[in-house]
Amino acid sequence: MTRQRPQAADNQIVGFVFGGTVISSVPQALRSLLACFVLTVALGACATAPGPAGTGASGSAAGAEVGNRQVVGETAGEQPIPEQVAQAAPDDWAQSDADDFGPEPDENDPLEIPNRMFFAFNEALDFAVIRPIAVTYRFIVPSGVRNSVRNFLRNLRSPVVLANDLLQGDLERAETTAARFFINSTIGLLGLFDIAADSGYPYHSEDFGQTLGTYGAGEGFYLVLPIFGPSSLRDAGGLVVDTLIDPLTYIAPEGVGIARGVATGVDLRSRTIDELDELKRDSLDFYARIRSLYRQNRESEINNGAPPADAPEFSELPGIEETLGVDEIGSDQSSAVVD
Amino acid sequence: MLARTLMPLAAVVIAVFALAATPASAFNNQQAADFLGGLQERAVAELSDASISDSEKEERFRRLFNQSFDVPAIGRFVLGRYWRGASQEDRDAFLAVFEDVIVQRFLPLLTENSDTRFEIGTVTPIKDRNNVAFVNSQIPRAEGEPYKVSWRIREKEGQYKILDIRAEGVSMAQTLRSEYGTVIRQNGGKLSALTAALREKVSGGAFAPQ
Repeated sequence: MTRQRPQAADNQIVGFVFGGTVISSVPQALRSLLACFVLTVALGACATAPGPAGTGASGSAAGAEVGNRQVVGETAGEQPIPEQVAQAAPDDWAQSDADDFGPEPDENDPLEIPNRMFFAFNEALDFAVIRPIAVTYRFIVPSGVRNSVRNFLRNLRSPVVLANDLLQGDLERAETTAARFFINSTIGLLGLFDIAADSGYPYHSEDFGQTLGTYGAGEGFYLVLPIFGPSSLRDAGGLVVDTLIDPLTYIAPEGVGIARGVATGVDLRSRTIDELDELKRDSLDFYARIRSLYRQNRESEINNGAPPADAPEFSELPGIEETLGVDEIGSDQSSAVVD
Repeated sequence: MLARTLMPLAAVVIAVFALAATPASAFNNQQAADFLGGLQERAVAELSDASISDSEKEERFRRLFNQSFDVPAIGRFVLGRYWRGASQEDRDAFLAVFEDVIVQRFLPLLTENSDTRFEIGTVTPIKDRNNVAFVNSQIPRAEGEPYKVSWRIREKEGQYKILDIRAEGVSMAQTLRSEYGTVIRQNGGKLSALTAALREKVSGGAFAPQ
């Protein structure tokens, strides 16, 4: 299936790590796909489904600046980037080396049982309805048109992205978003063409969940929302706020919001068909895998794709369980599910 | 008296050792990048040879994998505390099937896509670790921006080995750690259950790219 597409080879290479693209777009896909449907209905407005990650591998120019970086042969021995150093945390691997793992990483999923139920529901819905629509859409509609659809939807979301850029105090990215909105809404024919990306204003996405993350808010706990897919307390709240921020919520008729929500969902799902299939096929526990990918991806988004700071739960110092005997650790897992 | 004469000598010895040891044991960005680049060249050279049989290719890949990845460290990390609770036999069985998973997953990709190369970029140090760093790379794509892939590489006695691969901000080791941990926990903390599940997946060809 993958082979029919030109970028198949590249996809596979990055499939290396379960599909690089894959990874960044999957949680997005699951979530947003659905974001669409329910938000629209529930709030009588358009979904605030986030666009694909700025770091994602969709055809956006989000990484244009990356492309310009000198890469070949540069080892940068002399120029490690200071803020990167600052961000990388002391890590779990050190503990692992010393056979000193600390407490079991808390999956922070107190609602795992209902979450798994909703997850199964979403999977069934995806199998029966959403995936078939996405496959058909990808098959019938030429890629140029599909790109324009995405550009248009992204442009509609610009006010929300701009608001979040400002709330995060990131004036540079706010300027980029504003410039994109004006350029693409005019020269880009109401957003159908992403002219701004070619002029040095690459696309990026923001949402209020990320904004809260930059304020230092934790995720709360993991949530799977029916229809919406993977989320967290923080991010689910963020979705509501994004909807309230969005001018379209107030000025567009209800039908527009619904149409937009559906279109956003289909667009995102159609870009992750092969990747999600593959992720699911070789997983032992698809739920657990998506949960981990969602978290890591959100972390990366909050840092705007900056290099990894290891997940905090992996950096914890040895805790209570360290005092337990090996046998207890080996045999008594059920009590460790929720610490 | 003797001690006094020996002291400067000892200082010199220590200084010499320190000088010799520091550059040798510290992470060297150039060496790490060369290691990664060399690995890529070797993989291409050894695996894209059309004249060798599939089993020979697999053999070569396993050798390459074990030489360039710190497999036991990865196994320890991925299993976390369950590693410590497991018997040596269970650990070995897990590492064996884990290697099979990797082979099934990556060997076809490497043999089919020998013309796609990643470009090695900057090195990102990790705070408080002087022998581990991320070597960043990019995989160019026909369209769109390249994939960003980072390699967590550790230096040990002058040898460089890969610990983890990160694509677009997501770590393979952490993802597996989370998924495998969940599977083990749901099976009463038994590593053998995870090993059996992986074995079944491998025999069904689930990891092979389609």
